[in-house]
Amino acid sequence: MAVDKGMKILIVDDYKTMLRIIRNLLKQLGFNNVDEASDGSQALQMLRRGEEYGLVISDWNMEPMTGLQLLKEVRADAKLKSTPFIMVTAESKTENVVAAKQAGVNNYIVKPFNAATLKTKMTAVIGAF
Amino acid sequence: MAKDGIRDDLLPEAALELDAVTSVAEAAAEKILTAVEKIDALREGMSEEVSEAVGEAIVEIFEACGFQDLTGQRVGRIHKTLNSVADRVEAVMSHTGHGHGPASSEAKRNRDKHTENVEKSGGEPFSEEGLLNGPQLPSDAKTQEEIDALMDQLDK
Repeated sequence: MAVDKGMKILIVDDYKTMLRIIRNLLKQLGFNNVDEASDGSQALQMLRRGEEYGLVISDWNMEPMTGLQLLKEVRADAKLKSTPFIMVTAESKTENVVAAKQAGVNNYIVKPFNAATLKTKMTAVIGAF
Repeated sequence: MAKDGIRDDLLPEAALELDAVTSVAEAAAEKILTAVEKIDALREGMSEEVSEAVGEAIVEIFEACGFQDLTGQRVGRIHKTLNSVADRVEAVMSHTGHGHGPASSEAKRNRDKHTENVEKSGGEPFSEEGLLNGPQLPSDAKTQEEIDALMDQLDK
């Protein structure tokens, strides 16, 4: 079954320019129902508000709550634990990838990235669109 | 230059110059994004062929604008280095009996200004977590293909 492009996507980054870039790239891929958060704690509040998000695309290096902490909170929350989660970060060390994988990340994109990579990873996580 | 000149003037000024670089890069990126979003909105009136070509070019511009994020993170790391140098200069001065306590009011103003700039730009230069290292140098950074291979390996 094809992915519903009306699904709500939450993008999380402390750089507003990056939020704008990802929002625009998602728009080019046909996804217009996008919310933004500037760090993990704001994202967690939004996720726990009750609206269902079909995908979280999060940066790692943010304060006060990092993307990894957000991922752990999501996976520990009975209602949110199955939410697809893609990390998009400049952190490219092996230990980062291992830590993210152990915390339950669905896919990992290293910055700088392009639209084709975003589409490929989204397809791997939520299905073809 | 005297060591206290390095601590009180040169290093804080260098930090402010870096803030200015970050601000200019951010403003440029925002301006480019605004212009491209306007072009994107005009695609509806274009023929399918032209709209598709313009769309592909727009995506490339969006991708390229990611430079601002990485620039900000790299500048943040340089800030951290500058602070480390300032601390060492202060330690040398104290050891040789030339230390004079807290930084001068001018240096303090510059540091406060820098902190304010970092907060405004949403930057995060001072993370101390072991996994928060920011972008690697191109020669050291893993490619997406290497990340994918590692993810696949971890899946097994």
